[in-house]
Amino acid sequence: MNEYEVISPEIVDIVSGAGDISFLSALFYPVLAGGWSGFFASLALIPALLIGLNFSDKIKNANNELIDANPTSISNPIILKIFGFLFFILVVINFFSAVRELVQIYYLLYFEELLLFIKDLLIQIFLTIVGFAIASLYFQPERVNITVDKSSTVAEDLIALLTFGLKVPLALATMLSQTIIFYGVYLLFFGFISFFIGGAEGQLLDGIATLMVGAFAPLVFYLLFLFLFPIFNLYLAILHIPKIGKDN
Amino acid sequence: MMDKYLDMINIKIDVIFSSIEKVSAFCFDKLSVLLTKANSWVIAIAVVLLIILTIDAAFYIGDA
Repeated sequence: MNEYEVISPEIVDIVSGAGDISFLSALFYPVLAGGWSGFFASLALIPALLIGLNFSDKIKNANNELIDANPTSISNPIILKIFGFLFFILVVINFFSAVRELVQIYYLLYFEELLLFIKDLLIQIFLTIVGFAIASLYFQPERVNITVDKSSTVAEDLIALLTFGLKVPLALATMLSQTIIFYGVYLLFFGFISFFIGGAEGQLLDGIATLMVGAFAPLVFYLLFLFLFPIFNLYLAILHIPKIGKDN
Repeated sequence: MMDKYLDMINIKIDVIFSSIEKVSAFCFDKLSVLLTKANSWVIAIAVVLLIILTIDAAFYIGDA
């Protein structure tokens, strides 16, 4: 029986039941398998993290160049501002619903529960600030190379809106990568505590998985853009067909 | 008469709009600075935690 079980059985449930293991986290299960395989899997994490960060650093300029090379135009920025407003409101609603959920999970009867509540609340505040930062791009579309052009056609407007979601991760690749790494280290730190005190593996694996995703995120964003943007370009070309020969 | 009230409401909504714009721009600027400053420390902590994990795994080499 560990010290948490002496204090409260509910805390054991909270500490050890740190969420179901996702598919991505399950990929890192060999780290905790023990034996030589566990040792080598743990050992491989550090070079993997450093290689991911190196790749991300190298791809940073490529991401910016990709945005510069693919301008889109919109006839009126008001639609982006409205989406930005809605996104902001959604972030606020998400924050309050997360806080409501936290209040329902933790009964706050013990000091340890209060600490866990503060831990989860801090990360929710951090994620909300990240959400607000993402919303700022809707109000400054020039950051993702969306120019306001009154002669922009409806098709071009539509493509600008559809590709906005692809351009945002690319424009914020560095910041999002740092955010995911920060979140991953936060999960990893508390996962360590849960693992060594409560024997819970879930949060630790989630932390490792999040950290690795953060390290490779700019590369993933680059590849996503590379594979998906041509689809929208093709769609734009199709929408331009009726205009062929009518431009002059 | 009602136009006046509608205009007043519109002005209030515009104020909310502009304050949302300011808040999100502020969050973007501060978060960029904070993350840039904290990034190297965060990575250092991550490496230390992973080293601890590796050391812990070394104790269980014969247990598989």
